[in-house]
Amino acid sequence: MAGDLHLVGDAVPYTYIGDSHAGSIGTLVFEDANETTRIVTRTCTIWRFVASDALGADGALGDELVQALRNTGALHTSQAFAPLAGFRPVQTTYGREKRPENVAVLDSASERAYVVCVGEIDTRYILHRFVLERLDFQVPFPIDGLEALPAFQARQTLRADRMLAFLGEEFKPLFVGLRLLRAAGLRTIFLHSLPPPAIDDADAERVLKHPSPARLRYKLAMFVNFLYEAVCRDIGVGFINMWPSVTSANLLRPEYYLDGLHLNREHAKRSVAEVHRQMTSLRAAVP
Amino acid sequence: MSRFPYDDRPDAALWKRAIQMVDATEIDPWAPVRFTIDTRERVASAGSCFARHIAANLKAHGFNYFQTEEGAEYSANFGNVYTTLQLWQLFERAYGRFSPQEKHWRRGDRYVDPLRPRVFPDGFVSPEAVHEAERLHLEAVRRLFEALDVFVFTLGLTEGFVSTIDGTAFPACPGKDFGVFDAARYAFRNLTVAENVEYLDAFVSALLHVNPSARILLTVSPVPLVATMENRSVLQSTVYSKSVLRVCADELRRRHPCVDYFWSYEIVTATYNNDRYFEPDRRSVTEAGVAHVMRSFFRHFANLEIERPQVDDFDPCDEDVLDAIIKKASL
Repeated sequence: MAGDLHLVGDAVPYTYIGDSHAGSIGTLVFEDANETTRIVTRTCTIWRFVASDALGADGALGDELVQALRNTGALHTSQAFAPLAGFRPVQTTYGREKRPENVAVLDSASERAYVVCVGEIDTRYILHRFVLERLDFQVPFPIDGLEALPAFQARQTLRADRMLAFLGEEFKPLFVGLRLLRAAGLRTIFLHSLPPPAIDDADAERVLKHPSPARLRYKLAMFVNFLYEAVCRDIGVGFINMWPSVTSANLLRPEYYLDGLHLNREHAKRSVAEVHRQMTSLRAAVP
Repeated sequence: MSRFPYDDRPDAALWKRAIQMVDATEIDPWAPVRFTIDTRERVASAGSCFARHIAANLKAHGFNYFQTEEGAEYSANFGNVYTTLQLWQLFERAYGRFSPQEKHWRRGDRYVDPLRPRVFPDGFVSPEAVHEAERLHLEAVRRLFEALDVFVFTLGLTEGFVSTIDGTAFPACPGKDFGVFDAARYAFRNLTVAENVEYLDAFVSALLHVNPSARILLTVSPVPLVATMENRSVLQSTVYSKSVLRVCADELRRRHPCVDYFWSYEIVTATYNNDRYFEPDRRSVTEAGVAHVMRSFFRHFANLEIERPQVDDFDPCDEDVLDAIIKKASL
């Protein structure tokens, strides 16, 4: 009954935007140790959101991403705003007509976190192709622990720099989109790491719908995360790297397993904690 | 009783011996060559993006790669010359017989050369500076054509955009990073076999007029089209484009004794090595593919056997290389 509810105060929203991994975070409420700050997670899932959806064909930010950021309070539109590089004007209804409004980042967005979850669907298709063509690749980082997984008998192994260039092209729309958002003044935008895949091949095939060897699944997810981290550092976007928290010797720890694709609430708690840690650092960095 | 004509065919003419029984990385689709190149001769090159592999390999193997402008990627600073129409117009511009009406494009507070936007992407400070650079460039192009011994031209595309005012062929569609697209000023053209033969024949004749001893080596780039303006799959357009250019090269070879054809296209696309010879984007040619092409080139056109490099078996973790790739990914 409504009468049983009582208002406890305001909460700061941390919004996860993107594919189903954003949705798996759920709506959670956190309180800090002093009970002075409440955080509430919100999710804004975009059906089958992939890296290329971050930009439109004209090189401006993708409509669904802009809409998600408008709906969650990061962006605002007005006829009074000057055009913003990389943003298309938004057609807004005034009476019986549509008028173009330009986009701007809301000042209040600097208090809220916006975490983009994307890329896992992209990797499914890349993985599928590599398996079909029996391609493997080298990596420019240590992969301790993956030797525990069966070796993949590849026909050809791509050099690490070639693989990086290939992934760089595949994910370029996402990176350009993040750079545009950062350049527009959205300081509190973050990119979330890809989750560790299922370790068991049959489990992975059940959710990915095609067979793949675990070592290749893991290397690909790690390579994408390596690229994410490097690009985020380069463009000044926070990277929420959950890999160290939820893996042991680079393999998914069973206590975070949910369904072979998404991770569970324990992962969500750690993810939000990492976002909060980086938000706190960002606030401290502002004079 | 006369012998059956195919009994005397060499191994190279027989599929089973030349292709079926040979390791795919060793297929050598050669033909008798009309000339060879020695390391003292001035070899110049131009063409589509695949031409840069040929230029780099000529330099790397000690050939006299002829350049008349410093710092040029090719023999002069003309950038990529994708079509036969571009090549013909380059020659005509160099000798003052064609002068495009569009002399410069504004880009912010700088000015770029519409025919070489990517050669000088930062542009020039004024329109006059663009024109002066073009004047010096065309002088260098004249010196090149008049003094070269061998001209290697890589035929790249049949599709392109031209000016509706004077027919100038642009290296890229105006509006793509440089210039502003205007449908009234620019039009799409897809050159036919007859048009390609006409432009290339005009170029060869004009080159021989200023340099009677020049030899011309034509090849077709195996790199597929990145996009097509035709209302069909980019794959169909790629096959059309490459087929037209291959026919054009053969026709020029028939017409001029100083023209020969080199089989880059066949090696990369038709030796059943596609997975090894194309990068994962299925467009860029791998080092292994380029190496196979150049081995055959040097063997037949320079009497030189080069070592077969080992590729894709080491892991460069050069941080500068990785940083450059990462920076490119977000620009």
